[in-house]
Amino acid sequence: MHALIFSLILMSFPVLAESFFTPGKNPLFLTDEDVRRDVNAFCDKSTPAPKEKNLFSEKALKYFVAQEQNRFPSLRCLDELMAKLRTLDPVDCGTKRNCLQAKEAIATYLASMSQSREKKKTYFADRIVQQYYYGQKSTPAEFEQAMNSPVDDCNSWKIIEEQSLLEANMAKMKKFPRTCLNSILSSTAYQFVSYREWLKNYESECKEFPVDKCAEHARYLQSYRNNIRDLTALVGKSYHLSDDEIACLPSVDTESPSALIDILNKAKAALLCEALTPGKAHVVDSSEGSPTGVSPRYMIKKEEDGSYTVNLRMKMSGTGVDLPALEKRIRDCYKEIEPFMKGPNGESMRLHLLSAEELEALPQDQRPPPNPVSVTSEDVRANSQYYPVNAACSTIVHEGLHLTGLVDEYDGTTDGYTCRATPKASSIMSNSYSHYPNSEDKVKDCVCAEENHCQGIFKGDDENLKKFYVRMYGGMYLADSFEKYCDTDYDKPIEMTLEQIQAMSATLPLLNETEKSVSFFGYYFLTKQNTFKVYPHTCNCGEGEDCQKQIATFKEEFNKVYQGKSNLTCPGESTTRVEKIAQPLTSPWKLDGPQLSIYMPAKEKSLLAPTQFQRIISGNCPTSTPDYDQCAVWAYRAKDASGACPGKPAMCDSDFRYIGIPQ
Amino acid sequence: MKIFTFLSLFTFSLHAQVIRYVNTGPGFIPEATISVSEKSVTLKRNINFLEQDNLTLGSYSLKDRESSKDVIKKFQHVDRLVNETEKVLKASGQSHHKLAPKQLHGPRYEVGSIRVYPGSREYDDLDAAFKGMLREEWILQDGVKVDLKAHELSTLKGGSVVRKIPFFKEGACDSEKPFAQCEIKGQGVLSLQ
Repeated sequence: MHALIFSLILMSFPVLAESFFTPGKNPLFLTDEDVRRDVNAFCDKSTPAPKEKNLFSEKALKYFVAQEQNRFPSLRCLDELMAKLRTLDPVDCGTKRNCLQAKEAIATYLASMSQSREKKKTYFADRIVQQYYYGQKSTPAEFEQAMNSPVDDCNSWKIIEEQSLLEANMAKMKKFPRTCLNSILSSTAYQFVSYREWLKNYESECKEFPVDKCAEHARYLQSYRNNIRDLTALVGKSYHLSDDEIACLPSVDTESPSALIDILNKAKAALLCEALTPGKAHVVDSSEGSPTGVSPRYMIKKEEDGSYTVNLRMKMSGTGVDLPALEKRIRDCYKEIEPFMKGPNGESMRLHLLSAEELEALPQDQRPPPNPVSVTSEDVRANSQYYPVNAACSTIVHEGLHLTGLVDEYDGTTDGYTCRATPKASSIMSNSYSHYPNSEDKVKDCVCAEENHCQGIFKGDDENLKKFYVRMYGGMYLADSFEKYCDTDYDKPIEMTLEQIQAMSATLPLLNETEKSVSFFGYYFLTKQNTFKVYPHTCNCGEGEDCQKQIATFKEEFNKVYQGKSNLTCPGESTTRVEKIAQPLTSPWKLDGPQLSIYMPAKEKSLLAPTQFQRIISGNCPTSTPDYDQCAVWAYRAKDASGACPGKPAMCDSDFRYIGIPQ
Repeated sequence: MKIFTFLSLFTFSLHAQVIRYVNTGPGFIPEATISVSEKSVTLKRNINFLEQDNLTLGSYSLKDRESSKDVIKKFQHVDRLVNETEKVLKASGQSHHKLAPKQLHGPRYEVGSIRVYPGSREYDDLDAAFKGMLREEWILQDGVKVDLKAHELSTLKGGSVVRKIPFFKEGACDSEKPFAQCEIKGQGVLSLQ
């Protein structure tokens, strides 16, 4: 009887019979070469599809792909996969012998991947084949009986077919790139949801339609349950869990749904959070989702020296504009900021715009997806997809960082993003114009021509006078909160000689002090006659207030403004360069003949806040910067009708929690 | 009914076309607003974009309405176009805003309360009409004017200079390639080439 059925099956599938009885052609015997070829065919557009008979079952794969496409229509590999399906011959696996071969093949494969070869071989092989036939509930005795019994149940037959092929594919997927593995995890989650749906239907419809509907539901339930369990086990394998640990993974039958979802989320996080080791690279793109809500598209590589390179790919378009010039400009800007892209522990990072040649030289799985960028010739502000040809470096860097998934941190009210978290601390994502110059070490080279004046000052040892000299040309005044008391008198400038300034250098920037008021050097500059024209910024005490205390406050506050002035200036022509200051400065200026160099060290430790840096190097890992992510997702949301942002964590008001900068 | 029609027409004839350009992003937000009514044509801006040789910011009036009538007509036309399109969109439960491609930040035009983003059908027309208006001759009424040679920043009120203060590019502006940005307190940002 068994032999008869077996013969009938073989007669029905002559091509398959040949393939299964010839070990070299058995589609379930997987070699590394098979895996490599299929991975390429699966994800690599440049590799032509293999001509030989494919390993996939059209039906099983169509099913798998259809689920995936419904859920993730943008997955990169699916179109290619569907095209491939059209050329497939059906492959079947339905006899005891076939499944024994499957058992051997998969066991061999799994064993080759494991450290405890024998133990895992038995564990997985038995378990998988057990699933083919009887699902989770079968006992070893039942399994043994099944192995020696004919398969005469039609539903089971279909499940076996699907499951065995799925297993074979899953085994291959173990070597798939991150994106593909990720899709398996997504598929598992999807199948879990589907299982629950079918379960509901099963319970209600089986009562009414016990024959047709019930059988259909039962079949799908079985299929989904097995898929979930197998995929979950595969997830466990991917993270090098021990056999015992895998055996402890929640089961769809015994554990609560939340436990399974939790393990899947953890597994997904573990996949996405795999730390980069030197020489390794990850492509980060939006098909893996985005912890911040902004779609990232880049490739990050950890170099052998431990530094990180963030590679971006831009597809520029625009008419009447010099695209190569903008590309060069972007590269120059990225180069300029290199010394200032530091992590919280001093790690280095560089942004890099890939050229066509560099892209071509990269392995397929290290090529980041392109970012479309429209270029305009006009002077308008950029966004990550829209650049003016003369964009400033601060803008270019800000927009480049959006492509790594970082969100805006400035007040989003104008755009309707009223729930955005807005740190008080300066950040490249909140105010690139002011943050950028403060994050770079700069050197200003000045012409210091006059021997008796400029050179005389800097050859001398009056440090207060030197400081005063490089703080010229910009107005200094107290904050608006002092407006009631203080103002700059532009109507009565004072003309002062160098000698007069020298005489009061010990108390600079104080100009004059009386019982009721105090004046500072608010605005002063050098005239052509080498005298100083000074506009005093005068603060008067308020009526009935403690004047002495007020004057002390005015002095303290103005001194802060004076010391904090960032635009140090030259007495004559100047050029500015960006240069990493390697050693702590003993003096912020250096005179070399007629050239005076003024050093302006960066005020900020890094162009990137600590959590921004961590977010970039972590790719799409959902657990590396949880506080940052929880706040970042609010960047493009609006308040509800009641004026609230329900669910927005209160900690987003803390700069330290959000961007990692102490308040 | 006749009274209603009359009132509608009357209201329409008094309706001022107000188009605002705004370019959101990190830090300073450039804006410019042009209003056209029967009585006046005005411009208010906080950045000298498109005209980096015109170092003024503030509120302006159009110098000669008659010689600018063609440009004004285009401006009014596009204003109506956007309003009419919005009505059609609203009838089908849509709006310019809803249809706009999602962007993190960037430029847009606001025609009254209607926001038109790049990629919208009317954006290019709006952009051309708005910039056409900007290129006309404007007289600064209230605002500031910088004279780099004289190192002076003048404050104007009602078209007359009421105050002059020293202004040095070296100290007042952040020099960043390819141009310097000078923040003028209470007025906006001057962009210098």
